[in-house]
Amino acid sequence: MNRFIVITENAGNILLNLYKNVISIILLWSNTVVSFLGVLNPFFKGHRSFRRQVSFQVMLTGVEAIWLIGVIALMCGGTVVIQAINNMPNYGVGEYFGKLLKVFVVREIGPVVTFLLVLGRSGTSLTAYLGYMCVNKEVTALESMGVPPVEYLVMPTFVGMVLSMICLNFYFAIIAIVGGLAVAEMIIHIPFMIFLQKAVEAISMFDVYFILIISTISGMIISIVSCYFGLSVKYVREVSVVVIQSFVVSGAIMLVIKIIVILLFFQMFFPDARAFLT
Amino acid sequence: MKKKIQQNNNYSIELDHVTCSIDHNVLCENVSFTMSPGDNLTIFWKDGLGKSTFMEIVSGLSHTKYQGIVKHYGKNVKAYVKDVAMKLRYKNGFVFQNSALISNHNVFENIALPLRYHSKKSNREIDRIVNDFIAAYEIEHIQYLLPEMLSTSQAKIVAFARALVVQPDILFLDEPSLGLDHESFDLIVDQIKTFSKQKHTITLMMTKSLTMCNAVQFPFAVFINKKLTLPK
Repeated sequence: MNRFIVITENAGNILLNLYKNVISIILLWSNTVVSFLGVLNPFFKGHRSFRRQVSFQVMLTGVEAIWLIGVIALMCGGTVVIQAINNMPNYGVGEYFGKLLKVFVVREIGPVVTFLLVLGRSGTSLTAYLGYMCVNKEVTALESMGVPPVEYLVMPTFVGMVLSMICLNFYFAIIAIVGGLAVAEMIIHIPFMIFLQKAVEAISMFDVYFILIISTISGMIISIVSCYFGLSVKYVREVSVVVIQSFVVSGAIMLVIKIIVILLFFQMFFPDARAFLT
Repeated sequence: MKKKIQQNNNYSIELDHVTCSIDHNVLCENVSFTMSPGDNLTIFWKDGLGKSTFMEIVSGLSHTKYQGIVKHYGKNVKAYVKDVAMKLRYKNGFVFQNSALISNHNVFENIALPLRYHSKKSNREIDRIVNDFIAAYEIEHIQYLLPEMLSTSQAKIVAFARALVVQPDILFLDEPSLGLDHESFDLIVDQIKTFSKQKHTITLMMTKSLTMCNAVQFPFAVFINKKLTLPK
């Protein structure tokens, strides 16, 4: 009986912590969005280092990741194109090549791979950096000067991360399609321009909006979750733990949100955009 | 609201029966004192007994960890709306024990940070003020270095400059003499004395160093058995 009570108590504590974390992450997100709206106000005079910090974040998250994402996009695109060109005609669906590329590379692989790379590269480093700032009392020092950490640290990161994610997602899609076809031309000697035309014809404005929305959501998730876990650090020993937590929680949230977005987009709002119909 | 804050010159610190504790470990009991404009106080407290925690409580940075009432500007610090509390802190200088310089800003940007965030001055004017401070503290040769490249003394001097650049009404000093060499010690003592001689400023210093206590010659309070004995 005693053991049952202990197990129940532990389970309850875990659920309560989960609940508190979710509420705190939502509150941090809303505070960040509110402070961002404050910066957009033309009469706003404070926080003069906002642009500098945003550009620093874009540099760290976007510009420095260009080579890595470019190479991976090339490999993904090349593999998909070669496999599709070799195998699709065997099943009599060769004419759907462009649409397969659109659905598979632009809508699915692109956002997921970009999210995972940025999360692993920038999200974790952000959590560790903020964690060390907390341990060194730099965050307390900001508060003592009357500088809100959410406005000074989280919000520029949030804006920079969202901008970087949008650019990286489009970059991934372009490199994966164009580069993938170029790789395929070099290896299996396909007519590059004909296949490129097929791929470009298949892509619609709906896909552009879809990339915009999914990359904005990805950027928000990475920045907010990483900052939340980074700012919750109290001791040096916690830093490594929160880095793992931020990675896992960001991934889990993204998975849930991706399912919701796909359900909303393809089942309710835009049923015509499903699979190979458009 | 902003005008109200600027017009309110009755800045003061008031502690009323403050008992602070961390994880059921009581650090101090029933501490009560009031500091009005022009008051200076040194609190002598041994190492590892909660100086920094007490300082965070007095300065209103920590709202948990204690029972009792801490008042700033005549009002309970817990009753302030966050935005107002942040604006009031602009006029508080705080020197941390470990200096706590922002690690991705160089020395110049660290000193300019509170001005860049709060003041309505132009960037050129802020740069001039910061340059004057850098010259006064003789740290021109390190102004473009990052905090991790500085020695403990240099970091402490930069922390002092950052605290005083806003011309604060209240200055909180948490162990200001820790890690200072002789020259820096003299410089810091001079700066503290100059600041405390200004009219209508409050200086609260917590230290374990008797040399520092004797050098600044402020009224002297001491914690004995978790109780504060104030100067008569």
